[in-house]
Amino acid sequence: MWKSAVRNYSIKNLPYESRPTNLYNPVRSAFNIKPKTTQGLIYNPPASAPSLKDTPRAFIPQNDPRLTVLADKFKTYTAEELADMPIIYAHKKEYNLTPEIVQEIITLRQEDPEKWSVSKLAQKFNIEPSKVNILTGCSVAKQQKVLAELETVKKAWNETTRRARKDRVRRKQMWLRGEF
Amino acid sequence: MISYINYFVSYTNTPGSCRTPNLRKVFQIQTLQKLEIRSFPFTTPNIAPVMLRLLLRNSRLAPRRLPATTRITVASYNTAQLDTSLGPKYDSITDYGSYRNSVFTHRLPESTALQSPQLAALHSRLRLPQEYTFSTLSQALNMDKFGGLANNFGLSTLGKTFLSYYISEHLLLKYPRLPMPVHNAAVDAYMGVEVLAEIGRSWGIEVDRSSKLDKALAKEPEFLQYGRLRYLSERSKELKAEETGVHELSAEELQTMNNSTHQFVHRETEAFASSVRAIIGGIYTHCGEEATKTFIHSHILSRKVPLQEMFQFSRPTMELARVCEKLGLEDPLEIRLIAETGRLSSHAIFMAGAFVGKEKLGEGVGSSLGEAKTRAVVNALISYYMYSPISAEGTEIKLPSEEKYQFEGIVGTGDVAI
Repeated sequence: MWKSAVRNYSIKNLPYESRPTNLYNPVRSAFNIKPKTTQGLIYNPPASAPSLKDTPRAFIPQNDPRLTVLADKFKTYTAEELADMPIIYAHKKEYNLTPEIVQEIITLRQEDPEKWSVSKLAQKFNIEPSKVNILTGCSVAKQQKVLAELETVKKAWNETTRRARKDRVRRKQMWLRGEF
Repeated sequence: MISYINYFVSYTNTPGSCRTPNLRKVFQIQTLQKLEIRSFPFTTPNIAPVMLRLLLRNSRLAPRRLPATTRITVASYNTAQLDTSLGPKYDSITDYGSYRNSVFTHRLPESTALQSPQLAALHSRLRLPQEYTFSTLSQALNMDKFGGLANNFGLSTLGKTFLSYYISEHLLLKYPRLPMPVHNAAVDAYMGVEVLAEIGRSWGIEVDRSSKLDKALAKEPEFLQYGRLRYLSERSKELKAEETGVHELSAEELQTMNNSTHQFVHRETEAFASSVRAIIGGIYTHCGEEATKTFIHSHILSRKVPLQEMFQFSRPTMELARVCEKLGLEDPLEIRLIAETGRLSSHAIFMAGAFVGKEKLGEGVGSSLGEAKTRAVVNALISYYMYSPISAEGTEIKLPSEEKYQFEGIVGTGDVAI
């Protein structure tokens, strides 16, 4: 299987070309226009992440002079630009739960917690799993059972897996500190 | 009678190794040092080294529980505390001008202090004004309470008060939205004991380590000692031959011991820090408040403290949603994918942005969607908390200690509950 994926020729057999030869001649071409240098100082910083000290407009208080002085420097995104950027997470508030639905969720979960798991209830009533969790609460016995199962799974890990899992936790902590 | 003495056994034999203004580094060193405490009995100090070796090999005694072993907290910077060993007396507890220490002391004559080359060097190195007398500078370096000479306790308290005022003023006005834990960490990074001690060392303050006998044998002039930092007792100066990596904890060090990290403030560190505070207190005594402020701004507040590296969030997305709610932003918080490359490769890169309506709050880059999202939210939160107001002319805002002060900027509205 591996053989088919790896190339079966050596690059040493291929002819060497420093630049691709084609009809276009970069030296004699009429399109080879010399760049015209700008006189004086220019501002052309390298591409980089925005500075955290530049407060976004939404966070600037009303009495700050930056709101008026830098008014045209702040970027406002158009609807087309926003449409190009798909939403990966949205914080939305829904108030579609009624006391009857809440009671039904609780009874279903209490009757058969194995059958009516949190995710299944969330799917059935079209609400977020975290809300189901808050409504039904978690039983200590169930929590301990799940944790015990997790412990047995962890015991089966070899040294490499354990180290990789530990590194993953540490990397997540670095995201939360804004570190690289 | 068996006396129990707590020994501090350190396998890294540099007790002052955590001298760095970078706060995170200090924390890392604190956790990295492998320290161990054991307590053991012995009767006379002469057999201590032998006993130590024997006991370290054989005994497995549990560390003794010590009462009141709390580390100095940031809150204590703002409060002046009485030193009961100096016998303080006062007419009325609120009449601060009437506070006097009843221990007999006399001030070093200026003529003696002027002879000390170390004092002259330190005076000119710090560019202290002419009014700052050499005897006060010598007093600022004296930690010895009962040697007969005036000590630096009062000057140090005075300096601490000014430091805590100007540093809090700087942080509260320049960064009004800083959360309390970050504010405390920043105060610690500006005027923590380790940081001030490091400043003192960089000023070239020397420690008086030679005993009276050594001084007599070396025919050292008496005035030389007045330019050095005096905190060691005569006994500890004589007991020079300490076991490598073994350090006997004094009562003051035990007070600062943190049981969870096994970290303490070394007496030398505390002595250096107190001398720096006392020198600042001396500037106020001789030259007034304006000179003190200039000195603190040029020596303490000019140090780089990376505030944005002091944040650690637990649930950033929820926190940002609460912040937006608190600011009254109408549109909901949305995390959008701005760009991506190599999604199906092993080294994918995603760029996410935190948006509220048509405004971007922050963006972050990561190798997974989750990482990019978290980093975008964390960056948005840091840029919210690190907001710094400017004046109407676009310059830095005025501080309350400046003349003709009028309030500018904002008052922080506190943290959000998550």
